[in-house]
Amino acid sequence: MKSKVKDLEKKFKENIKSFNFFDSNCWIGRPNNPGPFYLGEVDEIKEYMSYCGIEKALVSHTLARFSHPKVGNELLLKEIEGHPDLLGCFILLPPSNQELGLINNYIKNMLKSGVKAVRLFPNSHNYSLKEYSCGDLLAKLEKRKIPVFIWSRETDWNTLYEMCTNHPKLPVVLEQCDEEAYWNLRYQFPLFEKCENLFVETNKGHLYLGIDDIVSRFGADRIIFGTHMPVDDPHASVMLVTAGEFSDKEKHKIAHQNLENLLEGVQI
Amino acid sequence: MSAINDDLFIVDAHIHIGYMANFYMPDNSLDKMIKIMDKCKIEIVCASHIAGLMTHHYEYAHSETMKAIKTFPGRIYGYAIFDPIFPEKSLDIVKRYMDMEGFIGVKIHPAGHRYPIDGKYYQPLWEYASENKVPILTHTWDATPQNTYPYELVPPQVNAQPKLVDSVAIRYPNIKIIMAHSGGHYNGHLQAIEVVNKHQNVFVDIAGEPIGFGLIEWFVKEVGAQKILYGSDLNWLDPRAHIGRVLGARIELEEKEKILLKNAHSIFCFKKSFTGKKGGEWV
Repeated sequence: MKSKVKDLEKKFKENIKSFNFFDSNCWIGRPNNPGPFYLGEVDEIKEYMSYCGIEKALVSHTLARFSHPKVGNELLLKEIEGHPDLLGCFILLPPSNQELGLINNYIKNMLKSGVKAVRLFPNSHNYSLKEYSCGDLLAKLEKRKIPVFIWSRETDWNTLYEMCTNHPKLPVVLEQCDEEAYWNLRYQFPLFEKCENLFVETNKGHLYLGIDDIVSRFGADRIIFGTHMPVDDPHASVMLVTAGEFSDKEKHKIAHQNLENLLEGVQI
Repeated sequence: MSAINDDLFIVDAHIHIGYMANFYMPDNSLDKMIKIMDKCKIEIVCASHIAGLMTHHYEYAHSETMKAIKTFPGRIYGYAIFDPIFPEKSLDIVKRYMDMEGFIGVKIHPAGHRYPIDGKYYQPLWEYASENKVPILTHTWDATPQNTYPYELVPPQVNAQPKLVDSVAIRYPNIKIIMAHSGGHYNGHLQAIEVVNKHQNVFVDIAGEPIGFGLIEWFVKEVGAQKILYGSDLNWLDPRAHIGRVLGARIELEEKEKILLKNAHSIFCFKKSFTGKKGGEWV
């Protein structure tokens, strides 16, 4: 019996390596509500990525979320320097308050630093994602096709729809880190039908057959692999892909290619 | 009937059949479930019907569970469901179904039924379970404010806090009680660890929403692998996510073996040959 568990474990780990996983949702820095186990340092994250079989990660810094984007984004660049397998993802704020300086300059410098993706936290950071507040920022990101990652609880579904339709060339990646994705699919499917620029990330996507269903209805191109490591266990997202009810070609798209394509599509 | 083969070995101690009104479920068919079980090397699932847990339609829930057991005997086993809002009638039905092949324990859902685990209307069930050595799977969760209906005074999950299991386990130390979801979130996990460590016959499962980083390693360290069961919460949540968590956990192979199958076999009696009878006829 032991060998069966061992065999399954071995097969699982071999499978992971064959799909070149690129994690779109990885964090460095200490979370505000750390559980009994957490990793915060770059070396710790990289060691766990290696253990888990994840080759690359798009990382944000917890200080950018919980302290200030200006502080956390700067620290992020310092901490991932010299680690080509860690790519930065900045957290931005709306331009009117100029907390990041002139937003155009900030985005230009961000791209010069090699950062090609951003996250927005409108609810946590207390601003509106509507056009009067973020329209200019979103238009600038859209012009350069910089992907925007946003958590479902950081906005509402109608605003997300407006964001996607007002900025049809802006890649928008929906993340569901602080809630269960299974509640959301009745909201998500009409959005997928209407908004070709909307993608969904896999973390907390463990509704029974949920990812398989999205692939069969909307194609594997709409799903981006992400884990929310080190808050959530990356093996959950990993096995939903490796043991998915879809082809290896589609698994490769989800595991790494879709994110690579989004980042390659950024116009510097 | 799907063939039972030696290649399958995992026991999923916590799954559901039936529908939930408040979210979309892609495919609830038993055929699909068996296909996914085969893919994941799951030999056995222990199922309770959602209608018996989230509503008070326990007759319907039991008859649907019975159909599932009969459709895939040896692969799908069932939990009878006790509803504390109708304790007498509900206990009669529990007794009737527990006397039939394929039913291996009783599931209770103190949040769904909005009645506390240690409340007096559960008393007939505890008495019955103690006398007949029936394992109980109880939903547990910390007291989150979510899922509260406007007319309720307290969040439903208040009724399902792991700490409420303590007094039951003191009164009925011989009942094997599994605390589902290991208590839900962090505060519930802390309570669950305390209760499990206090009682020899209290266990946890890893089913459901909690997929926190290091959670399995933490529970193994705190309560020991012999107290943890694999469960998925299928057809809400996907068994592949939780199998991945166990396979990927930084624990010993023997500990994974206990979690994935051995502990369940020590708690439940999975009869392999089905005659259609035990004490009572299949209905």
